[in-house]
Amino acid sequence: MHSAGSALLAVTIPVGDHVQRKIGGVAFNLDTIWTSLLAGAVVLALGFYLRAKLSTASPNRVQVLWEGLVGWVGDQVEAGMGPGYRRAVPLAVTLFVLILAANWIEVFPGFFHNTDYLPAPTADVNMTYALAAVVFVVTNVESMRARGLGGYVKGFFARPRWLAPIRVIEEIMKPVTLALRLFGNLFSGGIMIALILAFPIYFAPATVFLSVVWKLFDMFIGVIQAFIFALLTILYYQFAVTEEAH
Amino acid sequence: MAASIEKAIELAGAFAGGGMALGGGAVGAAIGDGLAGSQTIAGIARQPEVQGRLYSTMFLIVGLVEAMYFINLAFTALFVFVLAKG
Repeated sequence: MHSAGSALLAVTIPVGDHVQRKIGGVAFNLDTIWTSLLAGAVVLALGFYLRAKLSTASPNRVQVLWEGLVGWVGDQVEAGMGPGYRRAVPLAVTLFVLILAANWIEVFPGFFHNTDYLPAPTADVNMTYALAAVVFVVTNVESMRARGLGGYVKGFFARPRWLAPIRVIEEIMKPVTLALRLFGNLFSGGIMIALILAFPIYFAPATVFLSVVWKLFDMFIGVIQAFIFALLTILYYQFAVTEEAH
Repeated sequence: MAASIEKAIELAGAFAGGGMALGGGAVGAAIGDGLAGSQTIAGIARQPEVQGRLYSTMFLIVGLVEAMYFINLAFTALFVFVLAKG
């Protein structure tokens, strides 16, 4: 992607620029890779901290947060699918915490460098497609396990039969919208900061104030989008394995 | 000369199309958020004790509605920055 607007703005805003390397003819966005590893390390560190400081008598705040999260996800899964599907809980919890950590990496400022060294990994469409692909594979495999391969295919041809292509499109659009929703929210957050900082210098106090306000709103949106991704994962899982009466 | 006129038309078309996408998306997102909020307010007015549940449902709906707008935004960025070689 290119920088745009050199005729319209005083600065060029690099859109979609990533630190890229070509390995074997395939371009890798290295900044997305190392920030996703950073988000993963944060999630693992929180998990190991929980395990190290586990106590029933006086739980610390990390433990209370984890217990609240896993409890809520467990309730949703049990209410929707019954107690036999506890294996859906780690998927949803991991997605929520990973996406939350990934979204909040946006808080780190770009260190006076045009191509940000610590962008949010979910602002790269490759990361969100990967997460949505995981959800797609898991839900469809579980659907095939629950209904059998024949039942899975017949599910598309349930009455009314002419809706079958629409059902196939719906099944494909589920991960696509999951990915694009998350990507769009985070991508626009980053672009907005760049636009606010492109105000002329005599707007400096307003620029600082707006940046702070927007960044807080962006963190809030990060929480909401992580929550929605996890909740929709549970919902799609539920639709995939239960026999809903249409 | 002809090439730069073509580029200018492409860029103008991208900006115009992107602007329409953003406008339609913003109107849709605003109406959707307003509907969700109004039902939440009505629900809290009837039953103040379900405020927590209503809030979390409202944020869920707001997130889903805003997603439509952000997908439009992503397509606008696609038009302006990639397709029109701006």
